[in-house]
Formats: sequence, C-alpha cells, structure tokens
Amino acid sequence: MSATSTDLITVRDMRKRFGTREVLRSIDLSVPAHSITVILGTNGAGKTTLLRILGLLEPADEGTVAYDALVPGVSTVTYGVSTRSPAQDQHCLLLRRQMQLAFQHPAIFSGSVLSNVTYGLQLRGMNHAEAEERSMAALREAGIAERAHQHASSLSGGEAARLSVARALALQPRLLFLDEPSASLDPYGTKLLEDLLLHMRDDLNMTAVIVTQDIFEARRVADQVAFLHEGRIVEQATRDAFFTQPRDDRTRHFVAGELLV
Amino acid sequence: MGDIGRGFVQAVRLILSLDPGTYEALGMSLRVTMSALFWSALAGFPLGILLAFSHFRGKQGVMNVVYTLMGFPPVVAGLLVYLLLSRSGPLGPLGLLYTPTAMVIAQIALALPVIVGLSVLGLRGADKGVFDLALTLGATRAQASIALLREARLAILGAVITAFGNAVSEVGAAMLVGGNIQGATRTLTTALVLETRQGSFDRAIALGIILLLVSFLVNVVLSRLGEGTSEVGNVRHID
Repeated sequence: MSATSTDLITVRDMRKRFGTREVLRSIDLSVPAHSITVILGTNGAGKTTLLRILGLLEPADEGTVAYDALVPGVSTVTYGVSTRSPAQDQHCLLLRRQMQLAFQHPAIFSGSVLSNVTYGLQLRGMNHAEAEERSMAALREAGIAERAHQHASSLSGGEAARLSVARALALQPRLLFLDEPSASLDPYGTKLLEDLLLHMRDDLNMTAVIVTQDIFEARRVADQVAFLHEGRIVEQATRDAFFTQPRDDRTRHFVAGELLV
Repeated sequence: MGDIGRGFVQAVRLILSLDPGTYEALGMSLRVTMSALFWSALAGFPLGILLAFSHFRGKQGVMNVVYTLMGFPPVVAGLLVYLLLSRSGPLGPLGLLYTPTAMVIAQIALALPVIVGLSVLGLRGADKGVFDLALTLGATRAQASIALLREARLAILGAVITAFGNAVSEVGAAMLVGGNIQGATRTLTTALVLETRQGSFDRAIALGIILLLVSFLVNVVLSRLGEGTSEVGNVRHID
C-alpha cells in the first residue's frame, strides 16, 4: 500500500470513534487516480463512515488524508483533537467541489427532478440556461430525462438512485464516492450504472471509490479492491490478485463465504 | 331564532354598518397580534435554528423549558407582565400598563416559545440528508442551512399560524395588562367577554364570528406566502 505519484487519495492511520465505539481503528488506504476502487466490508464495518470522511462530510478523530492534484498542489487534511468540521473550512470547500458523494438512500430536494440537478451547477456560478441544458444531458445519460419536470418526491427508490447518478454526471467531479450504489437498482439499472462508471473512468478521467458488500459488483467494476474489517483495511490489492490470491485469512473467508451463499 | 342565529344576523349587520366600536376592536386585535408575531418571528427563528443545530450542555433542559412555555397559560403570562409593568414593578416607571405595548409584550411571551419550539421540531424533522446533500453538491454551510430551511418551510409556516392563532384568540393576558379600555386597548376577545357579561349575547356571537373570519383570512394569506417558494433552483453563487 505504498503511496505513488498517481495516488489521488492517501489515507494514513485514520481513526474515528462514536462515543466509546471505535468505528475506524487505523485506516491506511490509497486510491489510484483514474481508477475504480471498491471497498468491501460486512454490515457495520464502518464503510459509510469511511466514505463520509473521505468525502469531507465528517471529520475523523486522528490521521491524515492527502488529496493529490484535486486543487493545485497536494492538499492534506490533518485530523486531530481540535479539528473543526471540514464543512466549516473554506479550503475544504474547494476540495469538496472537486468531489461528490452519492448516498445509499439518495436525499432529494423538494422541487422538480431537473432543479435537483441544476442546484450544484448554479452553486458554481453557471447561468440558468446552461445549467438546465447540461442537467438535461445528464438526466438523459442516467435514463430519467422523461421525469425531468416532475416533482422529485414522486420518484421511486431506483429512480432516485438514477437522479443521484445524474447529479454526479452533471457536476463531473474528479472524485466520486458511491455508497452501495446498486442497492436499490434493478438489474437493468445496475448494468446502466456500471457502464456509466466505466465511461466516467475511461472518458471523463474520473476516479471512483465505491463501498459495497456485493462481491459480484466488485468483480465487475473494480480495478482495486480493499477489504474493510473491524475498523481496519485488512487487505488491498488489484482485483485479480484480491480474488484469486487473497493473502489474509479473513479476506479468504469473506470471499469464499459470500460465494457459498 | 336562537341566540346563535340572532348573533349571526347581528354579525352581518355590524360588519356591513361599519360599526366603529367593532372595527376599533378588530384593528386593535390585529395590530397587537401582528406586532407580537413580528417580534417573535424575528427573534424566534434564529433561536430555533441555533437550538436545532447546536450541541451544548443543558440543551435538553432549555428545550424542556421551551416546550413547557409553549403551553403557557395566557393569564399567567398576563399576570407576570402585569407585575413587571405595574406602578411598583421593575418596569413601572415606563408607564406601559394598560397600553397596546403591554399587550404586545404579553403576547410575545406566548408566541415566542411556540415559534422557537415548533421551528426546532420542524428543522429536526426535515430530511437531515438534505443538509449533507447540499454540502456534497458544493454548498457552503450557510447555503446548506438555507436548503434545509426551504425543506422545513411547511413546519415554519405551521409555527407562524399556530403562534398567530394563540395570540389573536387569547383573552386573559390582554384583559389583565390591557384593561379592555374602549378606544384604547379593547380587542375582539376582551370586547367579547364584556358583551357576554352584559348579556348582549348577539353582539358577543357577532364578535366571535368576526374573530374566526379574520383568523381564516390571515391563515389563507400565510399559506399562500408559504407555497410561494417551492423551487430549489434559486441559489446564489458565493465564493
């Protein structure tokens, strides 16, 4: 897990506790640029917490996260006792605007589906007409353009997931975090999402970090796989190495156990 | 025809004849309640936002006090303001007792906890994910708070309507600190009590009907205002 010049994110000894519960004990992780990294883990392993910290929505208690070349130079966020929430930091705002997190249960603003997509573009100063045009294109790619002018609260769970994807496509963040992205999608939606992910990686130079418990999804889209277990990254490897020659016993059990189901 | 029927006819007559006493009472009710509502909203919503999103020791205690004050008996609020403003009270020298200002103060004591309490509940109940969603879409904390307020706008409207209803219909405080002085501090509710005591049930019922009618009209206007802002699209660029 050595940091190379092509790592977009490098996490060192990151810890997070909620009250007395240690959720993340000591996370070391590197995310290579222009690739898809899948973090596998069981329920309650701390996957969502890890993603929220990487996405600068929540502070860690200790450790560092370096974001290379997202904003000019290397930006390292160092967490310690006195760290304010990253949401309050202007420097973090610049970083945050280069990344986006798609939640497992996508939140929606009340308003039209279209206005849910234009919101982020208008925050960045884009004029209304241009924002709508780009948002419509993103909605078409995500396959829900026909719902653009309906109220967003009328969307089904799967459609809300597509809206979430459309928001990411419209903003084209350098870094995309996805929390259980296909949990509410039908097989067709899952295929569409996975194709879009590969398109974002190959044609839009985006880097994605996905947390999931779905081994099969990891096999389909991952370039790298990391296994999060009891608050630590137990193993991180390229996809083929991870699945064919897992070095850690726990990884072997997890991979084998899931396959037996 | 019973009292209620006669009261209804009398109400129509009072409204159409532009009865000066009735319109004065109506004007006083609206003036006092709207002032109290204005000041309560001005102080109450920022307080509500603060309480909804901040964490400090004793916060639950503060909230318990606020929730208790939401059910403040108007006559008790009136008594406290009376003692505060009476000639021997700490604010006695200001000479505010038996003025509209005194009634406004008493009604603020009733409306402020309602605004604070209901806005805290509304903001907490609004989809928490919206705040994080706004952040991850590139909003500042302030912009994300605005997005959350917009989601909670129905609860906020509910707070205003409830506070208005409480204030305009209360009689205990207005009677104690206003004194029901004709042409000076007589409101619809204090006039209604007076008419009932004097046995003029038809006039009392007429005043009651007018009170309900005014409440209805104000609520219609407030609801219209609340529905006006339903799009999230209007964001301003901040760097």
